[in-house]
Amino acid sequence: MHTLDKDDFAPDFVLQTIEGQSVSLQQSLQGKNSILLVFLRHLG
Amino acid sequence: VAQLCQHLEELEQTNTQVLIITFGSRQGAQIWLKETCSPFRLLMDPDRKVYHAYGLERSFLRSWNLRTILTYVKLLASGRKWRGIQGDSAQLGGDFILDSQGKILLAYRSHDPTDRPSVQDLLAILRSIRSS
Repeated sequence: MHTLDKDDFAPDFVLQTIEGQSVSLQQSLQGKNSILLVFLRHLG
Repeated sequence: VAQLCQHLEELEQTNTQVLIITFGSRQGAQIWLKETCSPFRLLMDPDRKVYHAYGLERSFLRSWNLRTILTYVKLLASGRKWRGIQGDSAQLGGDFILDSQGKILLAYRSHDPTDRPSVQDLLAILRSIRSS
């Protein structure tokens, strides 16, 4: 399986906020110069 | 994330959307949001499908190495509350920067929990996108 790396295009996703609102990556890109995705560890 | 919060104005200048992704519980996320300044959008990935799609690793040995344990001890000594382990403590995090087309300009997968790119390095990439 190919591991995403620099210059690849990021796969789209749809996730929910804690309020239950659906947010997609593509939607988030609109009108923005860049996206910073921060993947957390556990919240403990 | 706490360090990012100290650079909100610079982030706004780069016209960047920050998305925080967690696989933790909704309840845990609500507590986390209250305890951090985070004005950023927090997204839930309970099945870790996006974690897997982006190649985030999991390693128990790297997650609980000496450096990580010392970091937790320092955080607790500085007054940080311990809420126990929630979810898979072996799951590692990471940071990705995408340009406006969705092209990846940074793919940083943490080697261990203390391994994150500096905010200055992140801002430098974001500024370069803004000026290009």
